[in-house]
Amino acid sequence: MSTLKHKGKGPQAMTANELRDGYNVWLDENLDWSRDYAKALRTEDQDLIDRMQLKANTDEAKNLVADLLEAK
Amino acid sequence: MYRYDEFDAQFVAERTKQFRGQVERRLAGRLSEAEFRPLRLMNGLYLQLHAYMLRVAIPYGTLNSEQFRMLAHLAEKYDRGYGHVTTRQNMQYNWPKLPDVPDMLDDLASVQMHAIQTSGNCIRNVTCDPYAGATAEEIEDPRPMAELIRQWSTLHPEFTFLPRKFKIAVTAAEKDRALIKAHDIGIQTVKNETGEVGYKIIVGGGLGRTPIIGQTLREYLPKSELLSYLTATLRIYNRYGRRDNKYKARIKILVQETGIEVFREQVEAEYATIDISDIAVSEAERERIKAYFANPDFETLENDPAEYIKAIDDNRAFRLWAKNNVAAHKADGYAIVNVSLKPKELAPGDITAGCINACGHHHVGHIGILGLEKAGVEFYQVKLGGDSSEDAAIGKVTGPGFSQEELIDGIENMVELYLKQREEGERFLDTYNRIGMAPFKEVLYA
Repeated sequence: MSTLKHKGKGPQAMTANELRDGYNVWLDENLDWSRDYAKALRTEDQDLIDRMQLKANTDEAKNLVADLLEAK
Repeated sequence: MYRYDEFDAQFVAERTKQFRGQVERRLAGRLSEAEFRPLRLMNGLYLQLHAYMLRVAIPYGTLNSEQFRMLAHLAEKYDRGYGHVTTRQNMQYNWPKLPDVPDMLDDLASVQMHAIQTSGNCIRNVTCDPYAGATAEEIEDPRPMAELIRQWSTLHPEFTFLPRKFKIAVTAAEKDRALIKAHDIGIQTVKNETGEVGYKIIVGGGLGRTPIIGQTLREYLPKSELLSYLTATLRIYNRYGRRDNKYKARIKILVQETGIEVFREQVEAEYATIDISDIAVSEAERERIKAYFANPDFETLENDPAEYIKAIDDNRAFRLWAKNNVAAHKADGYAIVNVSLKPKELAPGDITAGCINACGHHHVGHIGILGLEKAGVEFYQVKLGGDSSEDAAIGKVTGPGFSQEELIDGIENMVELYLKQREEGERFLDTYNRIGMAPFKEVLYA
C-alpha cells in the first residue's frame, strides 16, 4: 500500500492509520507508532528508510495499521 | 415521511449483519485492507488522513425527531459529540472506531437509516430543496419523487459500477435551493403549457475541481416516464463515460466533450429502445408513496398575526432576522424558519464540510475562497460572481492568491466597496454584476 513517489527526494517519513481506531500515526525515532505528528522521524538515510518500510509492512501484516503512506 | 416496509427493514438488518462479519474478519486478519476497502466503502465507511469517517445518508434531507436524536446519540456514544452536516444532506462522523461501526449501523437501522451508497461509483443520496413539503413556492412536494428515485437507484444492478459517482438533486420550486444545475442530474418539477405536472431534466452540472453548470436535457418529461428516462441517461453515461481518468469520469465531462445536442440525441435514441411499461410506476404506487409525506394536521391560523407585525415594527434586530430567516409556508399562519447552528460570537465551527473538491461550494459563492498549498506554502484563491440559485454561475478567479492576513484585508476592502456602491436592495452579487470585477479587483489587490 505504500507509495514510493517521493522516494529519494528529500526527507522521508512513514505514516499510516491505526486499524482499530483509525487515528493517523507516524513512525518515531524508535520505530514505534506515534499519534504525535511532531515526533515523526524524518530522514534521508536510505538504510533507515528501508527499516521504516519493513516495520510498516510488518505491522500492516499484523493488522496493527492500515493504509501505509511514505510521506515526504 | 417515508417508512420502511418489511422488505426494507429486513434488507438493512441483513446488510448490517454482513458488515459486522466483514469487520470481524478484518480485525482478525482474515481480510486484508485491499479486500476490506470496497466492503467498507459500500457501507459508507472511509479511511481518511486522520481517522475513519462514516457518512450517513439523510434521504432528501428529511429527518424525524427520533432519527435526529439517534444521530446525536451516535455522536455522543461513538464519536466526539458532533458530526458534520454536508451540503448533500448527509451526516458525517469523523472519528468512529472500526469495531464500533457495526453497532452504529445497527442503531441507524433501528430508526430506518443507513449508510449504503454514500460512497462508491453509484447513485448517491438524492437531495432535495430543504424547504420541500413546506414552501408556498412549490408546484407539489418533490419528496415522493425523490423517494421513488431512491428506491429505484438503491442497489440498481446496472448502475452499481458507473464510471464515477452520480448525484441527483430535485426541486419543485422556481427558486432553486437544491443547486440542481450543479448536479449530475437535476430535476425540477414544472408544468407544461396545458398545466400538466412533469419534470424538467438538467444534466452535466458539477462543482469539484472542474466546475460546470448543467444544461437542459429535456424541457418537459411526463411524470410516468421519469425512471425510464433516467435509465436511458444513465445508460449513455455508463457506456460512454470515461473510465481511464478519474478526473474526467464524471458525466459533466462527457456532456461537455460530446456536446449537449449529441448527448441528447444519444439519450433519446436509447430511450426509444426502452419499454416504458417495464419500469413505469403506477398511479396507485405514486399515491402510496405520497401518502407517507402527507401534511400534519395544521391548525387554522391567520397569516401575519398582530403580535408578529408589532414585533417586526418595534424591534429592528427581529425585523432583520425575520427578513433573512423566515420564508412563506404553504399553510396559512405557519412559516419556514431557518435556525443557525453557529454559536454566538464564535467561528461557525464543525457544521459544514469543505475541501479542495469544492464541498464548500466556493465556485458558486458570491465571494468564493479556496485554500491551496504549493511547495509547502498555504495561500487563498478568490473567486467573484458565483451564484447557486436558479441563475447558477461559476465565479471567476480574481488573480494571484493571498496569504491569510492579506485575504482578510482584501475581503474587508471589497465589502466596503460593495456598501459604497450598493443600490437599494442589491446583494453583493447584484452590485458585482452591475459594476463588474475591475473595481473589486482593484481594492482586493490594493
